[in-house]
Amino acid sequence: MTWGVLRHAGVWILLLLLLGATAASSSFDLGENGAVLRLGIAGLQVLLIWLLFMDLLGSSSLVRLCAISAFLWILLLFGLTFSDYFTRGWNGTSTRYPARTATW
Amino acid sequence: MSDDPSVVQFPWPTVARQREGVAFGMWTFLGSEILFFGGLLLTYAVYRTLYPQAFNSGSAATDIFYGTINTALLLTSSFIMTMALRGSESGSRGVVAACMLTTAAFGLAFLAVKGLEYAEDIDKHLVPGPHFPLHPPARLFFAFYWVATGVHAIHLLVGILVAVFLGIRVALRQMAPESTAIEAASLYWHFVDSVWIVLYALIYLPGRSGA
Repeated sequence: MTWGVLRHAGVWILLLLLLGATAASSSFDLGENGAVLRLGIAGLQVLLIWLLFMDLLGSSSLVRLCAISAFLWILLLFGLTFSDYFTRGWNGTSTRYPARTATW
Repeated sequence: MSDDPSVVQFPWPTVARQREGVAFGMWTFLGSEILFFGGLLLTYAVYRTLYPQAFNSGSAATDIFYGTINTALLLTSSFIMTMALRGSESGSRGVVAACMLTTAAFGLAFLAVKGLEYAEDIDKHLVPGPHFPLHPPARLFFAFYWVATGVHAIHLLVGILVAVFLGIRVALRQMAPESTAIEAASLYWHFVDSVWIVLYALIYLPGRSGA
């Protein structure tokens, strides 16, 4: 068995351990930190897959630039949308959040 | 890497150049897929900000057992896909064919578990509609659940068909095991796996602690 196979097997086991950790964390009340932790673990898993399984680490600069540019657009999408939603209450006018239908 | 004429396609002068073109082309396509799923994730983020408790109660109604099993299946399938790619790099026809078909089998197992989960969800009326059992805003969560998991399942089905097609062609000696199509299929498969990892964190984990 070559070093490359062992390395990929190690990454696979690490991914499964991270899955176990994030599944177990859902049983504990971690407040707002829980969402950050779970999304952080998901982000780490995706990063491991992209860098090692999809070999972005060993790819050319052109390929890496292509992958990063997709995230630049996602950043713009989320940034512009939430800059609207999070500031709607600032001027106290009709651009506030729509009335919530839920009564929690 | 040899410049085997059965591997090099027009207009590439060498396998190395072709491999670079395949990686660049696939990542460009995956960039468009990231934007596609990004729109879905944005709607989730906006509505979860507006209705946090509805999303927590919706998430708590999903079956984390099915979700976790399916995540483990996809992570394992991704590992086997990397073995197919390593087999392709070393020109091992048997390894490539076996690993591509095993990867596809894991994908089918994912769809089978998803089918069981869908049947249970429909049985519990967890579909936005007249008999929806949860508080009305939780319909937003389940609208996301059905669309996101459905679109992901379609992507996975495409990946399964590609893996079976390539695996059989390699096994029947209709395609060289070093073909760059194996790398393209591998990139697509890993991407579909990584989308599921994010969906798992958003769909199955929130609101489960009872807080």
